[in-house]
Amino acid sequence: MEITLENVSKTIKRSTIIDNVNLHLYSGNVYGFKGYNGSGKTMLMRMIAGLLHPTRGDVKIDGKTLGRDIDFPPSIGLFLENPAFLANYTSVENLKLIASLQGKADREKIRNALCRVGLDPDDDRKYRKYSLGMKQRLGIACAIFEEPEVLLLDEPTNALDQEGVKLVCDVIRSERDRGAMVIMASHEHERLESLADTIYTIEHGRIVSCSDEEN
Amino acid sequence: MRCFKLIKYDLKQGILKNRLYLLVPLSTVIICNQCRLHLAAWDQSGTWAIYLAYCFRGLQRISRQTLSGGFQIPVFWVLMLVLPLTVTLDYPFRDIKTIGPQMLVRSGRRVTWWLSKCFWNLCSTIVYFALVLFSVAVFCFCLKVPISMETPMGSMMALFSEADITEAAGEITAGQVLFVFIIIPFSAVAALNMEEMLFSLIFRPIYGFLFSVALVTAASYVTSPFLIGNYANVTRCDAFIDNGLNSQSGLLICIGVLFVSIAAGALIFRSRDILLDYKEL
Repeated sequence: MEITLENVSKTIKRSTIIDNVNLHLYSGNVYGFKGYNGSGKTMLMRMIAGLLHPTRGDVKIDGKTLGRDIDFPPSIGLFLENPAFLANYTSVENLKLIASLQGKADREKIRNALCRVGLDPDDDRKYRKYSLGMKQRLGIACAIFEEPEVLLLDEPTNALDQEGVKLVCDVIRSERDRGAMVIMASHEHERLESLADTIYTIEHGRIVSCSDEEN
Repeated sequence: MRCFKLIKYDLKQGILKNRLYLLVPLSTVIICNQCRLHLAAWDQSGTWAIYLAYCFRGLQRISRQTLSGGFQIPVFWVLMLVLPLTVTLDYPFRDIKTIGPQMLVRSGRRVTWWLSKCFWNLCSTIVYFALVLFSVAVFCFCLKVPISMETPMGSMMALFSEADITEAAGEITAGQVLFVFIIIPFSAVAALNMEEMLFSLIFRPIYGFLFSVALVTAASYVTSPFLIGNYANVTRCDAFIDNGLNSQSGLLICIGVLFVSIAAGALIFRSRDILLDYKEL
């Protein structure tokens, strides 16, 4: 799979959030986006997910333009900042409900994804009783349980303890090894360095550096 | 196939899990009790159709003559129209704040998501009306009022004493009762609900709600074929009121508003940015 961003810009209320971004992203790689708060990382992730439309330019998935040819990438795992689920459902119930739409994941895949992020699939506590870290882990499980071709992770290690961070890092590496394209945004430079094959630095909506070019 | 699964999800989360529906039988019973007192003052007992007509009785056409006696807000009628607006207010927008984005990207198409929400909205109105009809029937059963579609002239006079009621009022057929007391108010409420969802999409849910409430309130003052709330106002129906609004045209206008809202929403949602906080917009 190939994702291409061609001259992508996003303006909201005369304020330029993303400014003329050009990227080529390929399967089997981990791409990291770093930048301070408000630099445009999250907006860029949402645009690749098809949730936001660029004001100018195109986001293409295997040559198909988002918003014109297709509305969303065909196989995508989405982890948005501060994920939310149904409060009165358990983790398994939430994932089963989401899985019911495409029918790509069976019960075993759901249980496996929960185990990979350190959640107990037999835990019958409702989502509303979850700690912040558990909610974060469930969000990661939701992104990976259908084995998508593209994985978008926005600040995936926020609110996680050390063990949680290690688990998520292992998940990201194994997803890349499976052949998925992992795109993650983080403000933690060291974490990105240890995980990403290529790191892009974003400032004021512009990509100001790329680790590949530096190397 | 995904569309059907999305609809199933919306019906479960947006209707079965929506506790606000509990307010519907409660409000209906309160209004029915008011109807009982009103009929008792006229020495009438009514029927199921009469109690139902009272729920959507509304207010007669406002004129200088009627205003001379003072204007009273038709509280129960406004309640019957605002309640479904409240019940269907925020589910789509609450959904998009929880697992909605996950369902949306998996549905593959934005239009699928919007149409599923429209179908839910329509079903929501059907459930609302079913609850109203059933609650009126239970109330009548408890009071041993005949559960029939007859409209005795005495009861009709009691209900519409302030309007220019015609002689046809006492000879309304079951088909007319179905059309005037159920289908027309249903289509008006369905159109209002859909239009509320459209305005919630364009602006914010609270503005969509306030705008719809304003439309309902305006319809109680102004008799206009373009204020669809008027068609849910049985006291302005031409079937048995002189100078009333044409019900057939009303049905067509309501269906028109319904489909225009669905189509406009689909077009807007296709180009809409999702997950932007309102502060960001």
